[in-house]
Amino acid sequence: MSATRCPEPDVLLACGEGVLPEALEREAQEHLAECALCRQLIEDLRSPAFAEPTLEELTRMERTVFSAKRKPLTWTIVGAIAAAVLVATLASLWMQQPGSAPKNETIATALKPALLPKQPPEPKLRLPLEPAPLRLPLAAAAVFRGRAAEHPGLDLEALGEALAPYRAGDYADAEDRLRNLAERFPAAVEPHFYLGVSELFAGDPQAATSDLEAARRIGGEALDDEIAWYLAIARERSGSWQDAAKLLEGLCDAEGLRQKQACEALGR
Amino acid sequence: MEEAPKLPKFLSSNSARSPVEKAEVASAEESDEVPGLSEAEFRGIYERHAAEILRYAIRCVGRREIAEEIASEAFLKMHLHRDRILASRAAAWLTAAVKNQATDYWRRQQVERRHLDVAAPETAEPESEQDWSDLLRERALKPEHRVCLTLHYVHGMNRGEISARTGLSDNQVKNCLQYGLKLLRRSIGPKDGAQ
Repeated sequence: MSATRCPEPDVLLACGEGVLPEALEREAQEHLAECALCRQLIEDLRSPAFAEPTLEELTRMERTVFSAKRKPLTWTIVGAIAAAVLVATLASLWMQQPGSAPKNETIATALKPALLPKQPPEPKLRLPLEPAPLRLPLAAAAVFRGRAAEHPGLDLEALGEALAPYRAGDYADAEDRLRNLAERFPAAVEPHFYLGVSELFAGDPQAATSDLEAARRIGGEALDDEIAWYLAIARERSGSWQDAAKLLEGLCDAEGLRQKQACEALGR
Repeated sequence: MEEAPKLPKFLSSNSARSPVEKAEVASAEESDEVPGLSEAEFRGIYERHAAEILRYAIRCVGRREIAEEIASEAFLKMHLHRDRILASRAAAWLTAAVKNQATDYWRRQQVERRHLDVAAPETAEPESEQDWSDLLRERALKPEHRVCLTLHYVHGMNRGEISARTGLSDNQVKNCLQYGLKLLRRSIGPKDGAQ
């Protein structure tokens, strides 16, 4: 146990980076040497879960750096580069011997690399995580009308009960109930989907990936976009940005509720 | 006899140079590369190093919004001085610029803290960390849970303050605290999850 009060986490995090005033650095080092709690905190804060910048932070920073005050200059340069590329391409096409040019080479294809949209920044993005809205199967209406027996595929009353803590934001409780339901009804999409979302909120993206994958395999037209969106978040938080990007591209290219968010995440 | 041209002040003495200036001088002395970055080179450097520089700034100051300002400022400074920077030394230049600004930040913080200490002397003794240390060894806890629990219960931070340090949203912080506590209860209490 440490005899001194724990320094602020910011001080602990900066410790050893050579930026703290000498006295503060010494105090923090001495404290760290005897406080296991602070050593663990620093180890956690330096883990990829926290050390990596988020998508929002990177986007904001890019906006600041390439801000409006430099825009005219940037656009002038972009224009000049585009003009230079165009002139160079035309000149090279004009100078080539007839027949020597590749058959399918046109100005458009020659310019394509320069005109392609910028690829999204690859790593370490954090997609915003908000609760998924509740979408129950049409059969739920039958249950509310007292005709549950017509739809034996899923115990909708149990689903309603399991979703009550989800609705209240108690994802830990929802997780327990939904897992139970998912085991009882392995072919029903809703328990797997809402279980995956609850696991994401509980900070377990690997488990969320597995359950959302299960939901995706089962499929459910009304939930397909939602499943893909939350699966992208789970993938990204598990460190598979490439897989997340593929899912986002699918969402961005098709009309849907998550199209705008997916395109924004890709920087389009 | 012709006199050698006088060097600008920051190039004339090594001891008074800032890390950024030293990076510039070192690069000029060690390489035949011609200094100067085009807009395209600057953009390329930004794309290659933005995440890395922001990550370093977060480590240096802890507060993510300050880190973001410092990292942005480093890139803006680089753009301003791009005519005398070598592309091969760009990452070192940016790191040095962040380090410089972080050092200034902590210097200012220390002055502010001194004033705050005078205004509100510390009276309360810290709570025992031993109990928390033992509790937080619970293997089911993930770094997210541990960090949120420690910042909230040991450092007394509210959800907004935790969010500013971790980059997690308010909602995520709330759930990490909730779920973390639940895991702790499971590990120390009766299995029925009684409060």
